[in-house]
Amino acid sequence: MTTVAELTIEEEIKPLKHIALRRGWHLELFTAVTFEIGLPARDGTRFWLYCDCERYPSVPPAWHWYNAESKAVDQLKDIPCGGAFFHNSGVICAPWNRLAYRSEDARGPHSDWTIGDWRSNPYTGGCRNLAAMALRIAVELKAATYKGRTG
Amino acid sequence: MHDELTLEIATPSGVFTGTFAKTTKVQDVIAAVVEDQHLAEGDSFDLVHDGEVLQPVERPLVSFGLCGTVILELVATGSGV
Repeated sequence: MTTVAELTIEEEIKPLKHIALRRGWHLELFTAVTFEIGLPARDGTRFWLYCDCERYPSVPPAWHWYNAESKAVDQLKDIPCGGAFFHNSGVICAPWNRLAYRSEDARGPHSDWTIGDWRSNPYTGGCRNLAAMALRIAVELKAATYKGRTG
Repeated sequence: MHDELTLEIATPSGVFTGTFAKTTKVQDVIAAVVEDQHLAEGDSFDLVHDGEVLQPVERPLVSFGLCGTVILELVATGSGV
């Protein structure tokens, strides 16, 4: 049976694919609710993310930093620092990232947010679909505040 | 036309392409794209060129040194918390 998450991803992945095609980003779906995306950084390197959209949109996606070769997630050398969203705990700190919630991930900076309210959290702003989230990450990797890799 | 710019803007709804006069203010570009792409008017967006937010939004496109075909992103305003 098709889940709500699968139906939502099927719809939301379309604009993200369009952007990826035009920008030369790598985007590959692994399952109906998981994909990898490679985004260029200011220093000419590329960062990868593994996005797990299980239970989306009831809960936000889990945006893991990722190594496309080893398939490992959340390794220091694959995590950027600087930027406005790249928390020193190694997670993207925003209500639209499941890993920002302490209840979901021990590194999550926020125990004060309710995950089910992520869309109405004022810090979410317009980042309510996958393309908006990916664009936000891509812009942070290109910003002057980007400081390279954590490890 | 030397007085116009072609903007290819990645947005949360996909990619928008349009031609604007160089003298168009950034805020007017944002408003036009939000309407065309059916984005929520209550949301706040930045127009970004190569990692740099184009602001203040009252300035015209030409004042940022843009020319020809320009690749931009329209991103939801926000910062780390």
